[in-house]
Amino acid sequence: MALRRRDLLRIPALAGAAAALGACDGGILDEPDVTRAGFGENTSGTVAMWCRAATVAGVQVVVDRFHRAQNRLRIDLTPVPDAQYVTKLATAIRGRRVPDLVDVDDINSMLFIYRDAFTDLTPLVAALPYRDALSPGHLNLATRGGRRYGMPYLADNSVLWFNTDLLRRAGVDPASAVTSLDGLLEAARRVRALGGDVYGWSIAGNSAGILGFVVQPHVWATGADQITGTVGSQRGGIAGNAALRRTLEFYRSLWEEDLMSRNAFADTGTAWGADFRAGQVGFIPSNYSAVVLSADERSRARTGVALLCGPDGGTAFFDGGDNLCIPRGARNASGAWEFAKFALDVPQQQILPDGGYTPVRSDAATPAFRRKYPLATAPLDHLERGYAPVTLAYNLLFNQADSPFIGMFRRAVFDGDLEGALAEGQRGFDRILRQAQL
Amino acid sequence: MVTIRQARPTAVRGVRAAVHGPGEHGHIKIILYVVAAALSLVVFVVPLLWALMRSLQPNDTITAAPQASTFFRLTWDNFRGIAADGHIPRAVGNSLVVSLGTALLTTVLATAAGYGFGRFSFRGSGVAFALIILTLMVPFQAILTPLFLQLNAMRLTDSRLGLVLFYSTVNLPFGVFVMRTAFAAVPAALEDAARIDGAGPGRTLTHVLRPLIVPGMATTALYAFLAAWTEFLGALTFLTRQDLYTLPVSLVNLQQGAYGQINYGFLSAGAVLAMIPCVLLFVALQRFYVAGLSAGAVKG
Repeated sequence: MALRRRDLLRIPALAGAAAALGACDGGILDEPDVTRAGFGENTSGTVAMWCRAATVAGVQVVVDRFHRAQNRLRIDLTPVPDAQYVTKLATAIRGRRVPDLVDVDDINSMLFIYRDAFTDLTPLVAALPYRDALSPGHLNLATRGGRRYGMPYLADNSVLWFNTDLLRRAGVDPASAVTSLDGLLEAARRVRALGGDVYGWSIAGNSAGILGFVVQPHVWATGADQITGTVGSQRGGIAGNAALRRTLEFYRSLWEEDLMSRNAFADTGTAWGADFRAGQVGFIPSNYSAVVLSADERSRARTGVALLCGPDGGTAFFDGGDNLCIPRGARNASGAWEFAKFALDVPQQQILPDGGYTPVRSDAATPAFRRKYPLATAPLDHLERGYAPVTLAYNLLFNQADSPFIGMFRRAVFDGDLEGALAEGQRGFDRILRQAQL
Repeated sequence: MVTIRQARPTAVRGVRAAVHGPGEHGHIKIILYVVAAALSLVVFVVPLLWALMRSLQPNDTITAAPQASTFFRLTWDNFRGIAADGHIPRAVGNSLVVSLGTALLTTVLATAAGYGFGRFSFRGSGVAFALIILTLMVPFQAILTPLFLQLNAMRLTDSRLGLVLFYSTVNLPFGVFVMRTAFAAVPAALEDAARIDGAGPGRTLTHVLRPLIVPGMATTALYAFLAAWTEFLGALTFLTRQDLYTLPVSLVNLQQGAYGQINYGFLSAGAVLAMIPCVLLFVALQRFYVAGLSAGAVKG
């Protein structure tokens, strides 16, 4: 049968469609066999690794060290902008072309674990000699049904920083002030009384991500959470949450009494920590990167640190940071694990503060480390106080610009409508959690 | 195009009259002309100068309230910081390869298509042209995942060629539109004369019509180049190797923090860096660009 021109034209179109359908073939990628003998030892070839753009400086240093230590295995590092990380990784998994190792924001790990996208690393993590020293908050975000799908790598914790110079001038004893919200409020009043452009407190009140990061620990310090239940049957725990109510009242007072700059209303956090580094505020809940990394020597010398407290005591911090996970379908999973172990070794963990992060191993806080990075050890000494909620909806609930959490915070703090904010928050949390379950 | 040719001498005469014109009336004209020119200069040049100024200031100076004591304390630190990243020169190279490739491919294809649509009548040409223009209505972001799957299946992810093909596809509808109008504006008599002299369609295009459609081609090339040079999301999605990243992706990686912090120093320095080829190309093609755009506007 002779082919007509029209038939010839159809061939590439059909071939394209067939190729696309092949690529769309759903299903889970193959899981590497992590139990085979010699897994993760003396490997060779190349490991394609992705990291968040915000962590690339620190990760690159570790990669360079690894390359100097051996010449069997190369790490091909690719930084991905934080805001696009989940989309890009999901697209790569969908296209069945995954990297061998991902350094993924721990709060996002669950999104992939619940969709069977990561390799079960349970026997490997259990065999680590330092497994008991690993950050439990990170591990919790990589665990489903008792199985570990990731290993903690670096910590990015929210803690309370204070300017010791201003506190001394205001006659505030930091040790007692940081133990309750009333104590902090009183301290902020005294600092503000110094006058001029000096404020008691600082917060980026228009940044959803920052608010979720630094406000929630006040609630967690009491053992309460804003999400109740386990994944699959979660609901909002907003209405009737006494610790949350007290926390929002605390922030309302800071705003109403002019203890925070008016800038807080519109601050999206693009210059987070700049006011504290310039010596203009008494307290700022923030992370190591914003407050210490880009500060000069003078600013560091006057900086003190404590964990965030609950309304009447207790402490907590947001256990943010990254986990290392091996996507299913990884071609060099063995090499990926060898590098992961190297990155977790104490010498590599101890240089994390140079990139703005802190170790996830409590045994990394040696005397030499404490001398070199005195402001990086507060969470390390209390790793058990670190927490982050296990949910598939964290971004929707907290990080997005229209999230119910920022809506509730702003209505309670800037508008002064606490009851309305709590009711709206409960509805918003319930709605999203109902939609975002499996 | 014809409109422009007629308008230019008039404008020149106007200026000459303003400069050499007699009496007080002429002076007022000169003053008005200078004031208008100065205002236009302010509108167009100040943002560029501002970006340049900011690129030479440290991040903390940019984010703090302006102070006379620090505003003019200039430093090369931002440019040094960008250079220290080590990946930026390669990213500039990648961007140039991809953008020039896109400009070339888009211009060639759009010229061929525009020739077909503008100078030949065939069954279904109206529908085909409408379909091409219709694709302008579909933002590629909406079909990003299928695009990735398709490119991946064709082994065109992690490839500069893949990116060139993708950008050319996205830019073609506008290019075809511009070139069709450019061809439509050419007097039919020229083509008839060429045909009588024995030239076929190909020879007519390359030897007779080419000089007349250069403004349209320049417009298409410049548009495609700028679109490819500044595109971010497609490059991020289709590339998964740092040594292939284009400049926008590398710059975003460099200047953005985890919680939305922005290093404004790096941002400004990156903007200045990214501006250079655009300004050079625009200045080089400006004459054609303006003529091509107005030709498209008048001769639809």
